[in-house]
Amino acid sequence: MDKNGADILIVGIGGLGVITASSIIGMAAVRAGNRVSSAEVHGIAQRGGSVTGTVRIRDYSVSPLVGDGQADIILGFEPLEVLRNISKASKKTIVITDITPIRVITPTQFVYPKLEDIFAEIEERCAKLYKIDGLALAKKAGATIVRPTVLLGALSEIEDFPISSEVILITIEENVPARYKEQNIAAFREGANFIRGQLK
Amino acid sequence: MEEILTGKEGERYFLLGNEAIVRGALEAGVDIAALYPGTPMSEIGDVFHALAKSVLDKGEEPSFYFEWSANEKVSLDICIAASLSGLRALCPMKAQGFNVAADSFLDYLTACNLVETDIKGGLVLVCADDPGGTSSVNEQDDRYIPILADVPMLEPSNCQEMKDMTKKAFGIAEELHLPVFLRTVNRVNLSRGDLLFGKLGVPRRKGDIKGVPISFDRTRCHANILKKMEKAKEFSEKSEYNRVIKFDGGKTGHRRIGVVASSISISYAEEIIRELGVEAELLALGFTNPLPEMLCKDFINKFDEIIVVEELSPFLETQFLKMAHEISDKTKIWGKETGHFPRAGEYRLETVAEPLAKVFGMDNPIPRREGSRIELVARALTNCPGCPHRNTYYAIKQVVPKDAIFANDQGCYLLGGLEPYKMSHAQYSMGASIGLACGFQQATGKPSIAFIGDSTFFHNGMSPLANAIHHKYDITVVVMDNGATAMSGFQLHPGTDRDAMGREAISIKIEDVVRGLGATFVEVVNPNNIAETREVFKRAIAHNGVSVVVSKALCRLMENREKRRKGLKITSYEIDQEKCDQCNICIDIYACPAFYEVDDKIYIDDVQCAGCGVCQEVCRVGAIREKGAENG
Ligand code: SF4
Ligand code: SF4
Repeated sequence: MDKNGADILIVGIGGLGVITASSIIGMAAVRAGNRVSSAEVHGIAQRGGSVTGTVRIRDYSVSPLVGDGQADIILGFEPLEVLRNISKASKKTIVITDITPIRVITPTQFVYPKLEDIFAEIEERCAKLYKIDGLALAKKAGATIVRPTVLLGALSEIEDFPISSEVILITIEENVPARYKEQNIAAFREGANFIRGQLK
Repeated sequence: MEEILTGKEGERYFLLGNEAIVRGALEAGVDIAALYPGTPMSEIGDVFHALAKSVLDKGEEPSFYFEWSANEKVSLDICIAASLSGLRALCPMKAQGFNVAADSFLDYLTACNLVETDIKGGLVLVCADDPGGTSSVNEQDDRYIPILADVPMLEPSNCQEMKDMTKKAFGIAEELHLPVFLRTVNRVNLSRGDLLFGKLGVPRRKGDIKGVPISFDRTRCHANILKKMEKAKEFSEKSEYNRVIKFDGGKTGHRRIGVVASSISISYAEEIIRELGVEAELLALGFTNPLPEMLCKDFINKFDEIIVVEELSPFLETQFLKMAHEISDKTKIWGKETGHFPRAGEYRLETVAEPLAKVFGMDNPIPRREGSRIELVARALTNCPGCPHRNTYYAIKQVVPKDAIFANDQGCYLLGGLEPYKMSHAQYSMGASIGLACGFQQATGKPSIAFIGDSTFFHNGMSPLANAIHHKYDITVVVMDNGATAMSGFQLHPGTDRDAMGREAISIKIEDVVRGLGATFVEVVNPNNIAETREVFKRAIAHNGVSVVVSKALCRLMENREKRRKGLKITSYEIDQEKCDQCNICIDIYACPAFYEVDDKIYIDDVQCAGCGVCQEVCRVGAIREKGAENG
């Protein structure tokens, strides 16, 4: 990753806002004058299945998929889903993940692994792991539904991230329902402050 | 989304591949678009629908007519008529949808191709294939259709081409007087990318048809089409979408290797060649039927070895093998026949990196990496939390005879075929459930039950039902009516009271249709009331002859969306741990995916719970109660 480009993987499950977040990052990158290629990968159900989004920012056109070990950043909406996609990470990858697990076990008798084990393995496989309590920060910002924006705020503070905070924030403002605008701005700040606090 | 209509020429926008197709059609001045939704191309319709609404809201008239047709054959017939009347028509469908439309597509070509000018307005059929089959019943490779039908085919490889080729296709169709087959793949339909806009076109708006162009001389028609395809070949030779991309990565070897690719594989091949840092040439093919024979043969002639990169069948590869053979057989072709590339499954960068590196004799730039040490189970496919279909299945399961046979269909409800309900012995295509149930009943003599959705019923369910009633089959048909085509994104269908142009529509009631067809047992029930639903099913199964139960409740996602829009609260539910005796019925048998278990205790996930409250009826000890907190 550098000022000119980044391969970002956004992971979670259906209904958490993965696709919305991917498309906001993409729109912001185009607004900032980049070439962008972005994909969404999910199953047939509307909610609850694993969902992956990619955003590849370049100054030329590329394929929409991120190869193994090629992600510069993984933005996780759910910790287990980050681990599920860990083959995309390398020792250069920065991972930001929400800490709240979705422990759905039906309809198979699947036991959700221990959270600390999940985080330990992610940490081992990447350069830096930021664990963020998106839900708590979203509540602080005024509404649980602005949780994706907390993560976008955090993303904007990553060192060398090719799009400026201003451009991302304007893009968010233009693309969220008017009645949640204030909460989204607040959520963006919460996310950004969190990373800034960690960087100190 | 507005920008698809209002966006300016020469500006760059970030769009979904499907949205880019709509822009392309608008730049071509499309008059009519019609489709039945299906992943991966439903958004094409969603965009037309939304644009029509936004124009109407401003008190203006949309420049196009759009409709959600009842099925793909209907949508194609509408578009063919528009084309015969001189208008430009766009007809998108998913690969399996083409099977429904094939009837009209293959027949009309020879029936309407006698006079040079028969097909006046450009007709573009968008066929969206789904390599990997994530949202489809198979990995059907529709590139063979244009060969079978003798029509030109274009294959976009990125969002820009989705727009440009759509626009171009209308022109080609009108010049050749043949429909153009725009074949896309899921990875391009559902990718977003930046693209430059062109100018909006001017629609013709009103068409007409004069004379009677039908002839029964099939041989002459066929010969006429073949003549047109000769001209198509010239177009293909000159097309800007068939081009050679040169890479000067610096690394050279003593072997001369060329790469051929089409569709999304162009972008993978391009990227890997760049990563390998080799000096190489890539023949990127976008006009793929007929292939530009001269261009291809020139390319073959230049190289000792050629690697063909394409998903699914060896469509290009076999044609390249033939061409190489016709030249001299000197050039070695690497591909699926040589075992370098798989025929099944969607490609990823890794799929292409390995064989390319191997043939070029270099290190693989994107080697596959290990997954996690901790074993992770896939999140099982299931209906959404609060989905009414789960309640239908839960209710019927309690009263159905042990030896019953279930025929399922295409829609969200097909997930009832998976764990833990497992109520599907067979399911594959739209509307097949009813014929299947009849067949099972006849073949086995066992109680047979068909599950079909509302949209699927209108799509292809009425004729098999007429057949079942007429022959007095003893089956039960459950129409799971959730008010929309939910699985592909809640699109409208003949049961809804509005159409895509925002006009009032006649809402056809499934129970009326069924009664009209002569069914003697017809009941409508709300599946969210499990006890009542159970009783209805008891009666339906006991009934001799075709019994139809319309299990009617709005898709939970739509209902909650509606509630949010009205500012109504959606309360989640929780478990009173004092009362819960860990019988696990809610998790193991009812299986709403909002439940989870930690240390033998059961909880409801706040974020997942849709607040339907139906699990209260499922719990025998009354341990489930409303939470009172808002569920964002
Ligand atoms: S989208 Fe609607 S109908 Fe489909 S599974 Fe979800 S709640 Fe059920
Ligand atoms: S109320 Fe019960 S059945 Fe409904 S979504 Fe919540 S947990 Fe599932």
